[in-house]
Amino acid sequence: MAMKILESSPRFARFEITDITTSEANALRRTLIGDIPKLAIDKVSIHHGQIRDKDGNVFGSSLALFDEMIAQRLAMVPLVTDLKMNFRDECTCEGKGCTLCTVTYSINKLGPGTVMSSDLQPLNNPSAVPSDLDIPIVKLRKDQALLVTADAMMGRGSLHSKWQVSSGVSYKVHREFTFQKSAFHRWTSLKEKYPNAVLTENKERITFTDDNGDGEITSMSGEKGVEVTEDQNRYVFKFETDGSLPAIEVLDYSLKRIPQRLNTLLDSLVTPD
Amino acid sequence: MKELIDAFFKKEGVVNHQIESMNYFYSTQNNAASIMQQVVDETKISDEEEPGVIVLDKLKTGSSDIRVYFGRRVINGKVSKEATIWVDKPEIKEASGASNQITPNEARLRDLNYMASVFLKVRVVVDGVEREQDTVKIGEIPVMVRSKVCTLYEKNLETYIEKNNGPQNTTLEEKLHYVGEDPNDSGGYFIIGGSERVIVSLEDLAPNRILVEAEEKYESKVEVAKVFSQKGGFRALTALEKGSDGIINVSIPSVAGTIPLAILMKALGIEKDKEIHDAIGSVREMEPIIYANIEEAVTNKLFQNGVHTTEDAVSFLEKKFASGQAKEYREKKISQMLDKSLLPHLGDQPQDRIKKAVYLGRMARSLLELNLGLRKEDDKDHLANKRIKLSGDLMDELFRSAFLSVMKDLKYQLERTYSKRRGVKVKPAVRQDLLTQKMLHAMATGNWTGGRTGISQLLDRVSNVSTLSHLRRVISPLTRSQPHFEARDLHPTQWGRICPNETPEGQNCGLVKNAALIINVTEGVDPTPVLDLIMQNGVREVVEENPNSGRVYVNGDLVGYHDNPSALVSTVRESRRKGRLSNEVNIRYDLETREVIINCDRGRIRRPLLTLQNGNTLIDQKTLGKLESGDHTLLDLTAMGVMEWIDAEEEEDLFVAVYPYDLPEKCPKCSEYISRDTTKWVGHGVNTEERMEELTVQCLKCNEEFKVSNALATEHTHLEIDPSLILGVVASIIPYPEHNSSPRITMAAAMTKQSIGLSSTNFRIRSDTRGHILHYPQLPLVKTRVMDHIKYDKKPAGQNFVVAVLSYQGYNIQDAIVFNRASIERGLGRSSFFRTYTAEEKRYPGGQEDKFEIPTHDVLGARAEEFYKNLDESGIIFPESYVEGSDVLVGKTSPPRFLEEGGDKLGPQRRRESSITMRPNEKGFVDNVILTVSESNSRIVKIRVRSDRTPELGDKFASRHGQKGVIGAVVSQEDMPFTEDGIIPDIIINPHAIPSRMTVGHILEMIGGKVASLTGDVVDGTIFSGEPEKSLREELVRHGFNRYSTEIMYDGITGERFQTEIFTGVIYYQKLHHMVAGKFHARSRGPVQILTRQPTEGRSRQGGLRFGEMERDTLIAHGAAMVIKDRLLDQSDGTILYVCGNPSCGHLAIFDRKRGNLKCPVCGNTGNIHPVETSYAFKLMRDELTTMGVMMRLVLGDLK
Repeated sequence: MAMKILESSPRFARFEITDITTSEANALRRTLIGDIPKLAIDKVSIHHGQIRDKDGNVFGSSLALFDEMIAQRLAMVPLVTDLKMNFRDECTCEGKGCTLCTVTYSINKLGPGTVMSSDLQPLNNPSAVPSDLDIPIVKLRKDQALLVTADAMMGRGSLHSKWQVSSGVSYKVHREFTFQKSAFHRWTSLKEKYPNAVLTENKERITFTDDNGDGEITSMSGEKGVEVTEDQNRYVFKFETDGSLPAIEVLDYSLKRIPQRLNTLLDSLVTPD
Repeated sequence: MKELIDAFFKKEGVVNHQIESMNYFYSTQNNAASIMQQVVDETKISDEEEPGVIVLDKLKTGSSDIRVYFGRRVINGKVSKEATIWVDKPEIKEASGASNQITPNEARLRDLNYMASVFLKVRVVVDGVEREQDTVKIGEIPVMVRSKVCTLYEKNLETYIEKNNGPQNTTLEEKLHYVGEDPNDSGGYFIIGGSERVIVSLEDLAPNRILVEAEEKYESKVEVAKVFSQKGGFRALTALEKGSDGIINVSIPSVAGTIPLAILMKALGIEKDKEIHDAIGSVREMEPIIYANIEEAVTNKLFQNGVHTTEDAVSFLEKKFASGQAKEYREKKISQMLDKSLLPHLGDQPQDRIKKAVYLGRMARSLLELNLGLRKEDDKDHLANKRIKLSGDLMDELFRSAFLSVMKDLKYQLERTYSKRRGVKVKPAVRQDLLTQKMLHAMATGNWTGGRTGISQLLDRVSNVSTLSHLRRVISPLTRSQPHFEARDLHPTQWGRICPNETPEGQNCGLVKNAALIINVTEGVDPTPVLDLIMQNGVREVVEENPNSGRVYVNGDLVGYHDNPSALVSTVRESRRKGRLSNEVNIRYDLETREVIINCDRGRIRRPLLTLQNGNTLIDQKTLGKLESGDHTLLDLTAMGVMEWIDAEEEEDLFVAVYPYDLPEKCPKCSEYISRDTTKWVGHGVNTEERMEELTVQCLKCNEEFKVSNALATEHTHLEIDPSLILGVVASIIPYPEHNSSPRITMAAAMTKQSIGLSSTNFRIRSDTRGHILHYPQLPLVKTRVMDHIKYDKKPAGQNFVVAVLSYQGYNIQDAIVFNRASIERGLGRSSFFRTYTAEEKRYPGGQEDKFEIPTHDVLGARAEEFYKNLDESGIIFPESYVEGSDVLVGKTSPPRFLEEGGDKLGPQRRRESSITMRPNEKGFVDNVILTVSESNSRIVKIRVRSDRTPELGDKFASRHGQKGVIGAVVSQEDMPFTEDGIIPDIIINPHAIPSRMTVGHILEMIGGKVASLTGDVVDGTIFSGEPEKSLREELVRHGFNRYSTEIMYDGITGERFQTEIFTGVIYYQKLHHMVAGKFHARSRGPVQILTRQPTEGRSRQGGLRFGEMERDTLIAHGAAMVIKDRLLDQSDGTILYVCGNPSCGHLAIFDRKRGNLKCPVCGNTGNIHPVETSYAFKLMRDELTTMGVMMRLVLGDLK
């Protein structure tokens, strides 16, 4: 098995794994989607009633959006995650909530204006800020204000998509498109357009791969003079993250997570009596 | 001609016909040209008197002649322009006595009636001397929202805001915001008791015109000529019937039996047989039948010595209809019959009788023409023979009867209270609430005059389009139970007037219709100018028929003959186009019968068409430009004669082209795919003298011009503005409908009306009893042009879903939909449900009243304290508190009921607990609490509870192509199939949903949505002119997809690649308001009905699920006797009866409380009493038999 990282940025990764079975590839994909820990807001308390500023001006807490909607929008805000944080049910505080497993945020915004994700102020963990600061939450009119405290805790994407770190997770099987130059004339324009996709070329035939995600090459299958071969043991993966964790860290975690999960079986092995 | 449609909707709203109709109805102080004033002028207090005046009975006034004039003054035959009746502004009279102008939203919130006072100006004339003028309020009338008397009408709104010290110098939109109104609300409805009500338009047979038809009666063909004669609210059907013997009989309403035509004509004053003959006959072939009819009258078969003179005829009628009565009564009865019941539209005076006789002759002629095959049967379903009654017409009927009763009552009151000393005092004699109550009652119940029901309906506020559609509905009064197959069919004349697709399925199919996009309903104009014009142009009033001349009809009346009918028609048409005649005049020349039919009456649905000359439009680009800039209105266009409103009658005469040219597939200049939406005809309207072979078209993509061949012939008279106008508001929402099978469009239209979205932008300050709001409504990626006109983008109702078409494990069989759980968690398809609970501190007779408070222990039926914990000290719940089950929302106590309860001991009577609680199976957060006062100054509290509706198993969704389905599974994202790009669909629909239903539009919309997502541009899917399919597919290829829109996908569970490529796309889905959360139901134990002790029925009463006949049968088949007993007895109304074992008694025993034993009250037996288990229904029957004096004895015996 060999893994080659083709492209990598803080929020995006593309890599190729050879000599891997379909189910192994799928296990990795599913782990990337649903099994990465992430910090997300899980409990929101919204202040009801009058809100006063320093000068004693009175603001109302009744907003354009319902509390449920605001809570849901807050939950979807990606927060920069520290993987060392505990899950609440595994924490030393025994689920009561402590700084090891919980980050408390506050929003205190007076209208007019738009409450943005940047208004989420972490109270006990200064690094756990939203990874995108320009997500609008709710618009406030001049006599409205939002006063919120929210608790964020660790979770996994399989429980709720707010704990989902990566998106656009997919793999594709390695495909080779061999064009009979004499029967398929468009190869020249394809070659010009996608020089990197050319694998081999000789007088009669030219072979492309669509591993770079070039849909135009993919759509050539079924055309006259085109032969497609698929390698079921070679996959190109790609995914992006919402910024709560760097892409490489996500990949690293998921690669460790798979054996860890399988080992839970080993750990629970008992000898028959 | 997009510009024309834009111009129409810029000026007029979608429900303009409703508002215009009411504007024409309401009378205002400075505008007497209204229906209301007309009604007042026409109102006759009794048959003997003139209209518009009350003449007091001389016997009661001490023989002085007192007249109270309320109609307009008529001086030298001219009616005064000064209004005698007018409607004020919408007001409410508070209990404090103050009157305040109100806004619609105030009426909605406070459960008020949105009504305005009606004032009447009366003149009292005593013995010919005018005494005094007085303005009296005669009552109140409902105000249509956005009509000219409504507070929201632009000028009224300004003064209202000024008076209430609101913000000045603001835009209309801001003003509407200020009064709590949705600026884009269409209006066109009324507010009665806080709820919005619509008067739906009625479709009716055209009055005052002769309809002939052949009926099968007793296996012989019978020809009938009918006239629905209508005059001022009174409607009477007169019918002529020709039997197989050739004798024509007339049937008159309110008279039993028929009268031979010849005798009736004689009774009406035509004595001479020749005159009768001339009045009927037109061709020689008719002679034998006419002679037979005349002969019939003079023989002594019917009357001794035959009917010869008018006297004979009248005495024949007297003998037939009032035999054995006093002479006076007989005369009265016959004159009643001839003057009032027979053809009332021709007049109700004895001098009108000759006119009626001539008219009857004409009816007979039509009948005989049908008999001889010279004329075809009239088509009852032809729109030319139908009239639409809008809210103004229906309000007219209602007001007419209410006003008459007010005036009759006024007369009675004046006579009763008259005294010589005080004179006539009108003001205190008017009973205002008579009018108010009559109008209110009809509006609130929908029960109109004439016994019609369902005229006013509760406005549908599910979504914006459902509201608009409701306001544009047209219903046929035909009964639902009878088949009426032809009436349900789509009629060719409905093209452009009635939506061909939007109609319900089932029993109302084809009877409930909806108006097409641009229609106009005529208000009715005075026929005098038309009559003058045609008389000047050679119409002769001779009676004699000439095969070379054509008959001329105006509004169904024969007015004369013309030698060159087609020349007459073009003259009239020319005058209309030049603006000399009202554009409401429509004319037709029927070649077959050589009849010229001119109409200018009320209620004809018309549609706009462009006039053509020599294969070119009369409208040119300059005019269109002026239209766009607002320098011209559509009214100018009709005055210029370049556009015309055409009714169904006139359209029969026309040769209408749908398109002026055919387009090539691609633009010859830029080789882009083009449609009628992306091209423009330039240079039209120039050089209309000669037909051009080629037309110039501009491609809007490259702005280059090219030539196409002219598809318009010189014979074409008119050009369609845009064929997309044939659809109604709802069907116009559907993209690419021309690619779908028709029933699917009908279904899609029905479902669009159930889709939830943003129904109104002021939903936070509304108090509808039920309502849904979609959390993230989106604009559709594939839109139609009509959406711009109805402002769908302001209030959308749906979301764009990424859809894959494949089967998923079986969770999407039979139209189920598989949903992506992550999509739902991110907010897809979420909505909120609102329910408003209302409580009022009612007042009772005797000074007692309800009270909002936390009930204390001494209140009868008070709950435990914790049930009231969310209430504040005044007994009203706090906003944003969580409520569920039967939680108390408003603590309320009511005064004790008189002579009731009290229990065992007598004591001071206690107040009763009457709190408002949540519905048992609902939960949510208190969204809003509104505390206000009702009209009677009692406090009203309205509590709106909101609950989140996240999509769950069983919720219903539908695309815009009649493809509905419920959620069959909610699947984790990782288990969903995915593409190589990492796209995971939001929903998966089953491929079997497509082929048999032929919803190709669904496929195209998916591709269109995908293209829109890729290009970032919204795709136009307007009917007949949307983005061409090939263009969409090419665009897909350009973005690296294949032209079939299929993609390689992998199974999310196994990770394997699917053998076949999967069709994916983006399509607009609507969430329908049928959700599991409002429907699911189960019961183990629960309430029972008091009378039968059987479980209650229905979810709202926590009822049981019926174990019915067929279910019982299955258990019998299994022989499961004990299960049957369990279901039908133990779990239902099983009771133990104690039966007296005395074989000669068999009554039920009672429990003697004092002695503690069972005792038969009849025979006194105490020992021999046995328990018997029966259903309570049996015991009930026994008791009911007893009340009838039938004694059922239960004779007990041992089991054998």
